[in-house]
Amino acid sequence: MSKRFERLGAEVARTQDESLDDARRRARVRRRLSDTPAPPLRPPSRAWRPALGLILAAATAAAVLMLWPSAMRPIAYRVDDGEPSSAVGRLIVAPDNRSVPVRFTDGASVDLMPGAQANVSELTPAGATLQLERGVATVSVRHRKATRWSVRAGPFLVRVTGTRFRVGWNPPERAFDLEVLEGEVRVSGPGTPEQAVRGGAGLRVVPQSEIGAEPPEPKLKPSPARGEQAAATERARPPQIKARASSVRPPAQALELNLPPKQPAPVEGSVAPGRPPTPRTEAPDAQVENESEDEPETSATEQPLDPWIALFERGSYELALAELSPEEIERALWHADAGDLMELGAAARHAQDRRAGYIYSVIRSRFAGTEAAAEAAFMLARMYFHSGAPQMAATWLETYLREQADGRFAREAAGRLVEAHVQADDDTRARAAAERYLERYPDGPHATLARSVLE
Amino acid sequence: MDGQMSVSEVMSELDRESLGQLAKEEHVSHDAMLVESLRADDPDASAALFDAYGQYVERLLVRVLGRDPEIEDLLHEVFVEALANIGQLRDPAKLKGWLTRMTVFIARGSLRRRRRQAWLVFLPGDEVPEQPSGSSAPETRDLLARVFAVLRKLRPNHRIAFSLRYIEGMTLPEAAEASGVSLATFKRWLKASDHAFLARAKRTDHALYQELLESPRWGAP
Repeated sequence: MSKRFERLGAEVARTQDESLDDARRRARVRRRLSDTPAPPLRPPSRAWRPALGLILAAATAAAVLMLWPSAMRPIAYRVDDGEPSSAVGRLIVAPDNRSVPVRFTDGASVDLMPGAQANVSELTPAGATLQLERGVATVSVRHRKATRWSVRAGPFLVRVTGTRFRVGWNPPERAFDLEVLEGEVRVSGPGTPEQAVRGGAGLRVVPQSEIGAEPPEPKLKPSPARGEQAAATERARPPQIKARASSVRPPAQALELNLPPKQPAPVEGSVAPGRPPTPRTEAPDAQVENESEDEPETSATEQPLDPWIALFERGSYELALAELSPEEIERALWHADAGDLMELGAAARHAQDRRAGYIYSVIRSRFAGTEAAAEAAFMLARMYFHSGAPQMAATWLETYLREQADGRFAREAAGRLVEAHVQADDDTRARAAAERYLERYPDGPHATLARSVLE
Repeated sequence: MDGQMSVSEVMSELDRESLGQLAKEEHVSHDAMLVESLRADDPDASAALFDAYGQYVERLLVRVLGRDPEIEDLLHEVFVEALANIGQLRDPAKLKGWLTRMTVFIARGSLRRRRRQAWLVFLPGDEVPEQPSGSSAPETRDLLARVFAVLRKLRPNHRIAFSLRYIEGMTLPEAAEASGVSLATFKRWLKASDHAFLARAKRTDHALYQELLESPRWGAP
């Protein structure tokens, strides 16, 4: 076979050589080199120098280790692929187009979702405290004898011993979201005693009262099981935010009720998911509805509409992405319903807008446990798949299948899972996925691939 | 005749091998002078180094990375690194091999960086499809694009092994030296790259796979 590769390679080389005839690129580099100041010459290497350095470093490290037991050393962390750090209070910002991993030396990890900001506010030998300034973070902490890990999000404190959970904090709206994926955490907040939240459950706290009213009451809501449409609808409802002293924005919910019922936007192929019941066309809050019926025109004329509302009403999601400011987009993300956000995400994906990942991450956080959240996972999988990251795609596909085993994308997700493992050269998982696929969909579009994997 | 040998007579005295040896010695001597000039901070030396090896380094980068918008920056990077580290080159006669290793090292770094970024960034990388300009036939251009589409999915070390051995046409020891690994390791990489290339082609470009296996164009089946 290598002879064939050699001939193929020679043919490729001949074709490539044509482009090498063009000397313009070399001329540009030659000019750049002559414009670049001569770098200082590094001295000749001496083989013994690094060796001596290593010996000295090892001796010093051994001495430090003997004098300073590891149990006494605070843990450290690494952001992205950066250097290990023990810095406290330094802001870590995840850009809008990707998540940022933070790995701790005790095995804990935090993934800041796109747009999230956080800092490590405390490092101890037993753990750390993460201050989530805004956005969504997925936290995974390994259980040990004396683990002391916590996450602060606004006035809320999440204490962790060993678990995996997703936490979100939206400062402008003071909205707190928690989804415990495994284990148990203990949460406390203003005016609320500490309470346990176990795996599979979620917690959402949103301010519900008028100016000067009492602090928000956390409501513990278990993640809805599949088919529990009522619970899903409840979770998919936008935060029940009314006017607050700190907000100059009009009460969005009341204004939305003044608008005519929205015509559903056309669904684009298989991308746009089923739209959960839209709260604004229902009566989510009797008091608000009555207010809007009493004074519909007054509130509509006195309070300018947030621009995203009008754009979403018209189904102009591409326009929204193009014209809304980052702050307006942010408000939309934390107020719009799941259906609108899925369509916004689809528009972003089609436009290759890097905010698509962030949009789907917000959907996962805000509407955890709903069909929309699962479909956001499926969309994230597709995006990772097309960006050449099959392992990440596989993770999200598995998430979708776990959350929507009989969902409308289940067959495609199962097939793509086989593809993703194959692309990742993970034969064991590919075989397992292929077996599962053939068991459920022996005549499915990925059946041929699945059989070839098992051969 | 005045007793001196004519050029043709001299040439006939020299067999092919000794001519090759002469060229090599001249080359070594040229490299030694070049390194000396660089170490002496000769203002023209960096341009001379680029003139001597710019095209070679560019070719190696193209072999490994294909048509790529980063080639120009990487070419620049190789020479900036070479100029900064020329003091560490112990044997000036090995300048070419040293530059080759540096080029492969930088190309590998670029491939690994992209692989890491692919995990984080949702959009496709900035690698552009192979589409060489020039007079090559459409089917040849198509072949080039398809080969690199498969190579892009290979692990960096496997892609480098494939490119150096089959596209650049290095011998196994040369390619191992260029990759900075032992001959045994390189052979392992190459074997893995063969398998990976075929497996990937089978999944993503079945026509290329079939052609590779069956077409007489690439040798007897």
